[in-house]
Amino acid sequence: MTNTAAALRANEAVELLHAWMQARARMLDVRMLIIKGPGLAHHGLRAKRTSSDVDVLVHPDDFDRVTAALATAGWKRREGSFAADRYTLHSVAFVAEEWPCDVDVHRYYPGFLTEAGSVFDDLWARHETMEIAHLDCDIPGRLSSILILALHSLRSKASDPRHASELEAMLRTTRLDIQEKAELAALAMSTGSAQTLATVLPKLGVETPREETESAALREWRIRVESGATPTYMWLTLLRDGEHGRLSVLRHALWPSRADLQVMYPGLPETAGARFGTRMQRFGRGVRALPRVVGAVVRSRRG
Amino acid sequence: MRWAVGEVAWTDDNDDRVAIVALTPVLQTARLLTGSGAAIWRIVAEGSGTLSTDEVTRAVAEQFAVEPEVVASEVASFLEGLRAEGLLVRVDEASAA
Repeated sequence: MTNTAAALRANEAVELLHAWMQARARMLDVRMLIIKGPGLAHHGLRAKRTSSDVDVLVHPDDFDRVTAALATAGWKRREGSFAADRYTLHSVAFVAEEWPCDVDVHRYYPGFLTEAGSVFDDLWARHETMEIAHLDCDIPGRLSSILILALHSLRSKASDPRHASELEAMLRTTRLDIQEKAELAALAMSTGSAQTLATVLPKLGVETPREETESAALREWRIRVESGATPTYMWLTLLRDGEHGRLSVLRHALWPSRADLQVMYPGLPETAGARFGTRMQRFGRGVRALPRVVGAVVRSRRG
Repeated sequence: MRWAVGEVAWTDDNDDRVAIVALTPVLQTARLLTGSGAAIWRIVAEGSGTLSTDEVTRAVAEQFAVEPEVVASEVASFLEGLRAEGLLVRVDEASAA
């Protein structure tokens, strides 16, 4: 009777954890949507591929309960760098021993500018189920998934070519009938993504009224999209916000601590020379990215 | 006495492997079954709570082209082992619970 202790494959781990998270949410009587990952392939919006982690979205009122339950279940918050811990507010990543992927619990999804609870209710009202690891799991409907994929891709396409190509592929292959276009426009309006996706929706034949004024959140989104998911943008945002002590932010930005380096570069040798070299390379990359980020900020203010 | 899959999530590569995790509040280590272990799991899962130990044994024997008595004790102990881990249930137990 063969019974092996061979290592779990990434695709097996991701599927099992999606199902386990779904079951855990139901035990807690919490509405939870599995976002990105298998749902996008299910709707034909992205080629099937193994996700690197499990992404779930919950109502912001349920966020603390879900994360507390994960901690009780043996999960630990993934240790982040100084900047990532202060910048990434929309989600928290958890890791569990023996499991080769993270679980990212989102309290809101970046790019939906309407109040997060209202956005979740809108997405939940259109949710569907798909079987993952032999369990019916809750995923956003097709139209909601189009918005999520577009926001996800836009947010980091400037720095991740894969996200740019996934967005292009989705736009190339997705066809919507008249009713779907109207529904997608309404959903984009109600979730506050009509303006953040102003460059995407018309390519799907979806027209939404253009707002005359640009909110601070929309301006921030546009800067982020143009800057890409670069650490330079993250540091400048923290410096500008000033909520975390500008001197402290500047010090960490220019000369990251040993602990930060270990988080950012897990394989880095524990030698002073390796740390110095990495800090200098990192500084060079930051300087090179600076013009694009500053340009995005300036253009946004002029616009 | 019939066998059924318990409160678990499981993947099947349709080749040699089945990976299982119990849907318990505390995350457990995943269980991997390969070869005949994976085959037994599939037989029980497809049986959906209708197969007895003898019937599972006969299905396994047929699949591996051996006489049932050759695999009977191993199949029985394998099923009981997975039951002890909470991955399989006896249907009479499940309906009583």
